Amino acid sequence: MAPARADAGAGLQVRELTVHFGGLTALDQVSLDVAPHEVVGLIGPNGAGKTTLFNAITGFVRPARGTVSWEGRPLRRHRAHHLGRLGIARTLQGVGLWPGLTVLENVACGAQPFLHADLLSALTGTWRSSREERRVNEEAASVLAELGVSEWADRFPGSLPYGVQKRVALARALMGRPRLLLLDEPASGLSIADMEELSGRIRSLRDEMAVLLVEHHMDLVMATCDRIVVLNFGEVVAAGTPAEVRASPEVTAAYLGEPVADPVLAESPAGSAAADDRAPGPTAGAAKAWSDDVAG
Amino acid sequence: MTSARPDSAGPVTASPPGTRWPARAAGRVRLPRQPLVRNLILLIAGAAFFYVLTTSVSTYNDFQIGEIALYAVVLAGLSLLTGHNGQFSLGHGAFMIVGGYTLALLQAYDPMNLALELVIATAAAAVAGVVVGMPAARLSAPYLAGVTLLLALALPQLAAQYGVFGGEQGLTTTPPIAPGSLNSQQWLAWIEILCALLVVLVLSNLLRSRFGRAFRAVRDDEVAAALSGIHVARTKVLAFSISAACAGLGGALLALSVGVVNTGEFPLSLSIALLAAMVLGGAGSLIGIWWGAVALVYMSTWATSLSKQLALGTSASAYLSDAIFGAVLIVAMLAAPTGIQGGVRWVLRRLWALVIGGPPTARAPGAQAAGGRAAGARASGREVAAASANAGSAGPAFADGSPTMQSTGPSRHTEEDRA
Repeated sequence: MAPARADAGAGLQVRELTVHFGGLTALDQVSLDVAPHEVVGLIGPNGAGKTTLFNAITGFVRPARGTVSWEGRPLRRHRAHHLGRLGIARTLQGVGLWPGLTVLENVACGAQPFLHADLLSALTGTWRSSREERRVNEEAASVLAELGVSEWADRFPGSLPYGVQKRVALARALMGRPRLLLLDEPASGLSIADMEELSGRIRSLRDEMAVLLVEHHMDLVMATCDRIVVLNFGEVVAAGTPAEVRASPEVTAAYLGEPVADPVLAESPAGSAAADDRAPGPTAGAAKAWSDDVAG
Repeated sequence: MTSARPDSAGPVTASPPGTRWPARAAGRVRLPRQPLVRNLILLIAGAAFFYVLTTSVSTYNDFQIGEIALYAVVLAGLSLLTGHNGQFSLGHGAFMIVGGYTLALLQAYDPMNLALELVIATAAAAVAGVVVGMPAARLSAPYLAGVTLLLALALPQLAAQYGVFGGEQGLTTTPPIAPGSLNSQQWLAWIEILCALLVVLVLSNLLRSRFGRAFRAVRDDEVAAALSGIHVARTKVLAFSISAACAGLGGALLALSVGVVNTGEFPLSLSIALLAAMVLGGAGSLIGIWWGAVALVYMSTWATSLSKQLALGTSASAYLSDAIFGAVLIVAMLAAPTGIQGGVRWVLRRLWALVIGGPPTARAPGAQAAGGRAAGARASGREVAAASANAGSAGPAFADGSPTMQSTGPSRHTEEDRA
C-alpha cells in the first residue's frame, strides 16, 4: 500500500525538466514526485533518459528548462558534492567504489560531508581528528555489519564478489543517512537471492528515507515500488501504481514496440519480464538464468 | 535482516556535534590505534636511530645524512601528491626555489629564529602551491605534467632576472650556530632530520584523517568522490599545496645546508630526479621516500667515484650519474613495480609467511576458505558463505552447494524452494 502523498514542499519534485545534449533532447518536460518514505521506480528502455534524469537531479547535468525542488527548496546551481548535506545520496551504475581504498574506507567516505576535523588537528593527529575518525570507522563497520558484509571490511573492493561490492556501494550511500536515496540499477549483476534481499531492504529503508530507483529487472521494480514512472525517449509515458503501469498499453508499446514488434526486443529479459504480469516474484526461467550467475 | 537503524531518526545535520556518530553495539568494531601516540613513538624511535647514526660517522657523512633527510622532506610531499592524490608534478624544484629564496631573503633582510624562518619558507611554498594548484586541479595528468615542467623551467630564469634575488650568484644563507661545543655540520644534520621526521609524522597523521581519505577517493574516481560530498577541486588544490609546502621546506633546508641559494642549484633535472626517486622508493609510501632520498644522494657520489676509477673524461662522468640513476630506476621498476618499498613489503610478507607457516594474511581469499574449513565447527555460517563466494564455486564441504553469496541462511532456502 502506497503511503499517503505528502503535501507540496516535502520530498523531491521535478517539474517540466528539459535537458538537451546538442541537438538531442534527452529529457522533455519530465515531471515526477517522490514523497517522503515513498519508493518510486523509474523504468524505461535503454536511452529513455533515466540516468540523465538522475544526473540532472544530482547536479552533473544542467537542465535547459524546468526545476528540481527538494524539501521545498529549488535546487538550481547545486553540484554533486552538495548533495550529502542536503540529505540526498546516490549510487552509481555498476559499483563506483574506489579500488584503492579498503571496503571500510570506501564506506567511511560516505560520511565525508559531515566530518569537521580541521586541517591542523588532522596534521597533528590530535583528538579532534582522531576521535572523529574512530567514530566514522565504527559507524562504517556497523553499516557494513547491517548489510552482512563486515568480514570484507579490510579488503579492497576489486577482489570481492560483485554482490558484495554492490552492498558496499549501498553501505556507502547509507553512511550519510540520506532522506532521499537514488539507486541506479542496484540489482544489475546480482544473483536472484541477492535481488530478493535487496527488494526487502529497499522496502525497509522506506522507514527512514524516500527511494528513487532506476532498474531493468521488472520483477524487482514491481515488487518493491509504491509508484512507477515510465520514461521513453525522454518523456514520461506512464505513471502510477505497479498494477496500473503493468496494465498500461503505453508501457507495453514502449517496451515491446507497436503491434509489429521487433522480435529481438521482445525476447530481451526486460521485455519479457514486463510482459509477464502474473508473476510478481522471479519466474522459474529467470531464476534458472540467474542461478548460473555466480555473484563475483 | 532489517536495516532499520535505531539512532537515525533525525537528519544528521540537525544533531549536535557530539552525538553525530553514536557508538553502536552491532558489528565488528575496529578501533584504530590512537595515531598521535603511535606516531610519537615512531618519531622517537627514528630520532634515536639517527642520533646513533650521526654520532658514529664522519662529518662528511653527517652532511650526506642531512641531505638525505632534506630530500626525504621533498619526496614525502611528492609521494603524497602522486601516490595518494594521483597528480603528477615535474616541477617540484620550483617550489624548492620558493622555499630556499624565502629563507635566504628572510635571513638577509629580517633575521629571526631559524624555526620561524623555516615555517615562513614552508608557508610561502604552500601559497605558491595553491596558486599553481588551482589551475592544475582542472588539468588531467599529461597537461599537469606540462604545466609543472614549464614552472620548473621558468622560475629559475625569473629568479635570475631580478636583483633582489641576487642574479646568477644568488643569495647566501647563514648556517645555524651549533649550541656549545657541538659540530655545526652535525647540528645542521640534526635539524634536517628533525624536520624530516616531523614532516613524515604530520603527513602520516594527515593521510589517516578525512583529508587523506578524500585524497585517495579523488585519485580513484572523481565522480564517486563528488557524490560522497568531497569537493574535488578543493581537495586537489589542498594536496598540491601541502606537497609544495614540503618541497619549500626541503628547499629552505637545502639552502641552509649549501650555504648559498642560486638558480643553478635547482635545475630541471632535479625536478625530474625527484619524481624518479619518489617512484623508485614507492609512490605513496612514507617509508619508501627514504629509499628514494638515499638513491638521490648516494647515486651521484657512487657515480663520481666510479668515473674516477674508470678514468672517464669530465663530460662522460657528468652524465654517468644520470645514466646509473636511470638504469637503477628501470631495473627497480622491472623487479618491483610498486617501488623499493613495495618490494620490501612483499619480501617481508613472504618471510612472515615462512615464520608463521601459513598464508601471509588471514584475509587473503584462499586463506579465508582454508581457514573456514580447518576450523570446522568453529566456522560461522557467514564465514562459510563468504568462503564459498570467494572460491567462486561451492566446495563439497557445503551440502546445499548454493553458489549464491546470501548470508542469511533461511531466506536462501526459501528462495531455492520457490525456484
